[in-house]
Amino acid sequence: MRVHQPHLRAISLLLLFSAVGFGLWLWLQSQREEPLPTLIWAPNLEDAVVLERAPLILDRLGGGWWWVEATPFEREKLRGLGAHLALAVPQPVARMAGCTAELPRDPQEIERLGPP
Amino acid sequence: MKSPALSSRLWLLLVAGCIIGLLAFGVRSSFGLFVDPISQPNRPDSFGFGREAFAMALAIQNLAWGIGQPVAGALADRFGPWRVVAGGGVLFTLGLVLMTLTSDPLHFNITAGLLIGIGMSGAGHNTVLAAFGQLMPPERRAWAMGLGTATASLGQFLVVPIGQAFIDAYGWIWAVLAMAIAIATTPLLALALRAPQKNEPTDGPHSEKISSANASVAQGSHASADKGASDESNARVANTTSTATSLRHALGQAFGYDSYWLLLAGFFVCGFQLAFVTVHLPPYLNDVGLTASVASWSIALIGLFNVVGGYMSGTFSGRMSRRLLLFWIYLARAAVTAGFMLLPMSPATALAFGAAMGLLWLSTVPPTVQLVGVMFGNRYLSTLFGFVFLSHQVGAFVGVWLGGRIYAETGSYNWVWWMSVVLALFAALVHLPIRETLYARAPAPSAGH
Repeated sequence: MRVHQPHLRAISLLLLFSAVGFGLWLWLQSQREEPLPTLIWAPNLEDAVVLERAPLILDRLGGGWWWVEATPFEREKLRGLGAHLALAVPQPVARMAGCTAELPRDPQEIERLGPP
Repeated sequence: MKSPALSSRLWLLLVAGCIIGLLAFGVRSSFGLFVDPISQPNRPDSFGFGREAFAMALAIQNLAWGIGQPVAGALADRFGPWRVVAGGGVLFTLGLVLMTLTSDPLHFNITAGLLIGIGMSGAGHNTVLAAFGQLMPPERRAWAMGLGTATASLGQFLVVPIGQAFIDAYGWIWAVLAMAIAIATTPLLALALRAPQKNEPTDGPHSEKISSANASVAQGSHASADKGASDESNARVANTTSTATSLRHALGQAFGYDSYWLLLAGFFVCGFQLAFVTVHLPPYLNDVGLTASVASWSIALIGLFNVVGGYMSGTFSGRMSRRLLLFWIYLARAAVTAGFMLLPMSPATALAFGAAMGLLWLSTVPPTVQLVGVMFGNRYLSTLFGFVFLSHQVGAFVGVWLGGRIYAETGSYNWVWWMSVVLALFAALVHLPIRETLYARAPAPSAGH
């Protein structure tokens, strides 16, 4: 007689539903017209390019990771520049993920400070 | 827990049922999001008929859901749950699509109220749980109902923010249409709820039970009702414990049995508490000086912990006395509500209340469905649980209405909170005398029932 652990499958099912739901929610948020915190991963782009071409800079994480504030159109532009990832993240989730800056920082100030 | 493996056929049934419950309960929980976008004037695409007209449609929806549940249950017992879920899914979808077109209150009551309410009674998690009770192997019923309750709760937790995101991104009409598309999948998913055919190969141990159950049904007193309708006989898989020989007989048994009335009374209290907390907790927290953010997090915690509570309750109700489990759940609700009233109010208190109530929220459902099955067998489980759910909806109506009424009279919710504590104690106590045994084989209706 085959036996198995039904709790494991049940929890996997619940986690799968949650992941699909969370993914759908994130995607829908990214469709909103107003600017949203956006996680950028652009390791192939010079910092100067990102600083010049990106919309408002919220935070710089290093290793090509940035937080910016962007509309869907601006995210598309960043992808066109070569960013591997430009993911809109709702404000509360962005804060939980470490995007703590309340206001955009001056690009020149960021360049002067250098990577964290 | 280690137990015999389910066949892939039964896993498919389980997953499809869980998705149906998740979608239906989630969409049903999202209607509050549409109040202002649909009813308030001076909004894009708004119908502008005001909150009262919208509230009337929702009241009709809840009433239709409650009254429709025993009818849907009777149809599920007669024709098989999958047909009822499929039909309910069609009506639910139709109601959602048409509600985007009906801009006057009368027609909105018919589409958003009547059609969706009837659709929910067919394609809702109640029908799915009853189907699990009838089609899953006996040793897995409690667990399957727990998982079904947990996924329905997860629907509430996931679909509401997704619905809001749809509204923010595309407007309310596209949000409703997206929900309609999601619900339109339920007739397809319902196909998985068909009972395995008599000779259908299944790779699990349940296949033997199915065959023997079908054989028993075919040889027993139910055989005359089958008339060659294989689906109907399949819907009776593992239904051999019922002592009733007809729906009328089953209703006579149930409503002549004091334990069934006690169960109805307990579930009335469940509906009262859930509806009161859902509707009146946010304004109450606002009254005591907490922010809207704390209120929304408290409601969110109810949804999140409800998933855990629903699953645990299903698991426990397969291992211990259901009436005692219900006794402890209602007693805990009384203690949690009393503590919420007596402790100094703070964000931590409100969040802890949300988490604790979440654990106890739908955890009453699996043991209640199972008690109906234990008392009367599974042959008419959908119908008999449908009446228990109707009692729940009446309690919900009273909870919402009384909360608003007493607040209007006294300017405070305190009386209702304490009433909720007393009712929870009452509900705990009424479960103790319930006889958790199969209703004794009774004579046919003509001979006494």
